[in-house]
Amino acid sequence: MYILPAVTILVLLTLVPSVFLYYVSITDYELGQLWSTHKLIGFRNYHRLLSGRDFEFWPSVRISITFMLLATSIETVLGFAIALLLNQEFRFKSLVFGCLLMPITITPSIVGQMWKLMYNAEYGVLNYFTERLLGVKVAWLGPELAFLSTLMVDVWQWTPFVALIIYAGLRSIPSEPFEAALVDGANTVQSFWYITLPLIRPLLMLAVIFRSMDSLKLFDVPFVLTQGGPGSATELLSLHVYRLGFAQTGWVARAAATAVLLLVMIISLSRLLVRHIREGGSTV
Amino acid sequence: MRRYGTILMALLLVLAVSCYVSAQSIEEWASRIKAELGGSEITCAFATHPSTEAFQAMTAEFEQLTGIKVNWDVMEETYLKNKQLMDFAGGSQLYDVLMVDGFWISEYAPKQVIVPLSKYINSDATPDWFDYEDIMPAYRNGIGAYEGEIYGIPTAGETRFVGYRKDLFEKYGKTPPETLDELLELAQFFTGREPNLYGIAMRAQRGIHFASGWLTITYNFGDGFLDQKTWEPLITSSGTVESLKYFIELMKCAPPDVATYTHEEAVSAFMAGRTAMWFDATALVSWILDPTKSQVYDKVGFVPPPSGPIGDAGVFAGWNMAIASGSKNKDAAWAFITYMTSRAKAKEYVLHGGVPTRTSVYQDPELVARDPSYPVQLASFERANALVERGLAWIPPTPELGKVLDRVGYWGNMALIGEITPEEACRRAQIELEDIIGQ
Repeated sequence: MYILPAVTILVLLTLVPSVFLYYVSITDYELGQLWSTHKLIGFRNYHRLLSGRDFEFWPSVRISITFMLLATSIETVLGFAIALLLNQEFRFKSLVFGCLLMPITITPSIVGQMWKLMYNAEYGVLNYFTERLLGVKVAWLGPELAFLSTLMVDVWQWTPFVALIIYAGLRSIPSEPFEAALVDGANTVQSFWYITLPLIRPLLMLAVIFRSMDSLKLFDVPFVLTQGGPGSATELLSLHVYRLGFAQTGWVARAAATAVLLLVMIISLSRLLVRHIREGGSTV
Repeated sequence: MRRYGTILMALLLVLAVSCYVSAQSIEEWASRIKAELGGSEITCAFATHPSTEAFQAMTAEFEQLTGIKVNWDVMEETYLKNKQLMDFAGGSQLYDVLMVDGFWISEYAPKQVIVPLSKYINSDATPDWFDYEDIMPAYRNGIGAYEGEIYGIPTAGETRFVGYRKDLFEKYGKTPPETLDELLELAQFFTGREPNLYGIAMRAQRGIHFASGWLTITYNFGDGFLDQKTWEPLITSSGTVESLKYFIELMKCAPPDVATYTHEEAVSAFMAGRTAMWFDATALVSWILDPTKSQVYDKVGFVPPPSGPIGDAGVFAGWNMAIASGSKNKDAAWAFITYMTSRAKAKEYVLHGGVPTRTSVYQDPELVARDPSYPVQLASFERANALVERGLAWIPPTPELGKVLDRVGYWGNMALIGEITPEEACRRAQIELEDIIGQ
């Protein structure tokens, strides 16, 4: 009874649009078409995607998954390293924290704009340094490097997030196990591997889940930075959905079907990871 | 007898009133508009473009004269189409006056995103000094009309021609290109000839921009992307494949990031002195000749589009002003269009950096003296007319055009960045086009 208002809002904000999305994905609706003239066409949109008649779908899936794997693993490793450094006492620690928080708090589209300026081949600050120091001009957003450049922005923005989560985990570990290990004659590597890692594993997995889901549905940064180009070097699945449905083609229904498949991918991935945490949790 | 007399009197009266209305001056027209529509508000959705800047410069005077308040929403071209279509589909009725690319008319008209304009043009309320007939016929029919009905008033017409650096051409003893072969040779010659110098700049960003850039020379090799009578895709025909190969060879002489260029980046590269040549829209010349924007304003010359293997062809493209079908202030929107695009205001518009579409402007001695590219522009129109004589429209008038250009421009761009061969790009584009047209 008391949760009715909240449930109503939840239904309106999530359930209705999702059901609408599923419905649109089995129609032939196009942007600008009058809604009353749309037809139901069954699973034709899905068939088109899965059978490879939409040439861009599978390459986009590949790009999205590669991006997710690279971004998550780099961010986790780097974030872990930074968290270990933060776990020691040093001067200006709060200043370092401030600097780490900054990328997380900036709106992703603004991050995209900032990096677009810095990456600019002619006037960008990065090329100013590469030209001065190494004498080379790098086409950061050219066909070869655009994917890695986009990856770098994601790493820059979200590594601190992972670092902070893991840092919180490190702070919560009691010191007794380490003292006991020291008495038993364990070296630093051993106590890291057998004590630190298992103890913060749940938080580590949490960070991995967040980052993998987020990077799978990443949109704003590559949208501003490259618009999916050049060619389809950075055409993540989310951008592909946008380009199908809007821009010049206006295939809203086909975009909806692609979005549903993206949703299925994200949900199955997160379930996989959550189950992994649960199983792992019981062994610790 | 007396009844006929009354009817005659009435007719005469109507005629007199309508003559009075259409012969009125701008001030008389404005005071009538102010009385009828003063205090209303219109919102314009426009693209970043020299013509938009000119209209914005003239807005204050219009507001003062008519009491209609004008809001501007100016954005990049791709977003513009999205916003206009979403405003229409969502029924939000934000916009009254739309700036519509000639490419979009054949899609907007059947979807009824914009309203037919002939009833406004032929209305007695439209003054003589608007003068629709003064707009060049190729623009009226080529970019503003669909299936015989007028949907847009052409505001910024363009054909395309070649701009070149006179200083560089003199230095190396070169003459401007007459044929596409010469154009390619010159582009190859200048690439790397001086530090940081490339041969040519054009638009080639994935999607509609690449398609538009490719279309600059497509008709010099064949009949283009679609058979304009049967609507069969022609991408794999030998002429079209050849034209893609040529375009890609030419783009190898452009700055390395050309695969991300729209018309804005292309003209910027030329204005910054990075390329020896530029082959794009005449509408952008006012930027190139503007000392505050361009580093090469005093060093450029222009020549008409070079001839290709099957002769001359040229571009007829441009922008329109149109009235959104969702507009709640259609009369105020039409008053705005009447004023801004009229013959009476055409000269002022061009002096503000606007882009001519009217015969009277091209013949105005003062304007011709001011912009040395006018005679070349007219020569370029003649070459573009060769296409009309072949029975082809530069913009194929099909409602599926947006999709066609997006797909063609996608595969062309893939070939440009070397992911696939031009032949393979054409083959895949053909499959997708058959799919789109067959729907």
